[in-house]
Amino acid sequence: MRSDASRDHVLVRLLDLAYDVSSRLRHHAQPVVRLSAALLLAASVAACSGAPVEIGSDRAPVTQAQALAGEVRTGLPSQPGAYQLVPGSLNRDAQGTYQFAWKGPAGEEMRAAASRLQLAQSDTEQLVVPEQGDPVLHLTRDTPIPLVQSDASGVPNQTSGGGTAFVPAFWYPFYGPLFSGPRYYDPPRTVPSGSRVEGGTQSTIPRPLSERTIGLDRAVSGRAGGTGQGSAATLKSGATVAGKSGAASAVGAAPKSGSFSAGKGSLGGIGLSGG
Amino acid sequence: MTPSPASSSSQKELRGQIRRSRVLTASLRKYWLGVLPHLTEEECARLRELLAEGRLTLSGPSSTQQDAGSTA
Repeated sequence: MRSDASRDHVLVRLLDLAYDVSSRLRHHAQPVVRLSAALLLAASVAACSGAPVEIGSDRAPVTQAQALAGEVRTGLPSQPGAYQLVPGSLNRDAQGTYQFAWKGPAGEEMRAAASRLQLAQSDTEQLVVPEQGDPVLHLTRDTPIPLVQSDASGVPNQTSGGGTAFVPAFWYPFYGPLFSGPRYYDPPRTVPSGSRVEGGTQSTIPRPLSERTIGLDRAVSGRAGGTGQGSAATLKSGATVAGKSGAASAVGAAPKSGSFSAGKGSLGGIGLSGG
Repeated sequence: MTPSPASSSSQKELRGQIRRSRVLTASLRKYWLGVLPHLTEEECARLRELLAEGRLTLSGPSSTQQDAGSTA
């Protein structure tokens, strides 16, 4: 199986490259390029998830991100109504803050961040601001929410290591036996880096800030198997893949931007089966 | 500052390498080809090196995880 192990090693390094390419292209002017980059990353993650690395079994300790000091709510529409979500703009950071862009009446794109946000399964992707209460993000079942490191909240990062950390993981909140209506959803508390994460928890009231954080479960040099300790989570891959060498950092170690253009909801069905 | 894309000759060579690669799944081939026009010289060089390494790795019989599919 030496050949398989070597191939896995090449795949992991290809994943590194895919991550670098995607990071650079995620702000590309052409949406199709952003989408292509996101698909490349998703397929690369899937390829590695299906090909666990055999090197070593040491694991970096899981470090939960620092909880928010207060709720985040910036850039949201001032008027109640339904607003189109900008495709590929959504992510959720390790502290539990959603970041996304929405389109105003004139088609202008506005960036927003909110920690108290409900999710609801829908056929379209839009932001609904009610007369009262917290906004609701309507997402398709197959819309992936990249789980990224914290940096947009203004809260100091918790850094346990240098270098570029290995992100993101993709969260599919509506998979699993959960109610799909407006609820406060949270992913499992421990997320294997570079994985697909399904389900999590949901509630009619937001969980305490300290219970919305996540930590990345990372292998130091790669390992096979393991599902972390997420609650009600199904990890399709069942594997953690190695990140950049020497970059064993926790979720709090932030790259410059937490944003990642993962494309539209159609991404969920593409490239995640490992080809 | 936008890095310059790799030269067309470099990309053409790499395109063939991607299509012939046995380390890449069909999906990966497709998506690497999708971003190929936007890769920088440095990224092309890294990709070329990894594909070459993969070719050496898989010089024996096909890996069970490989797919035989080929996409544009």
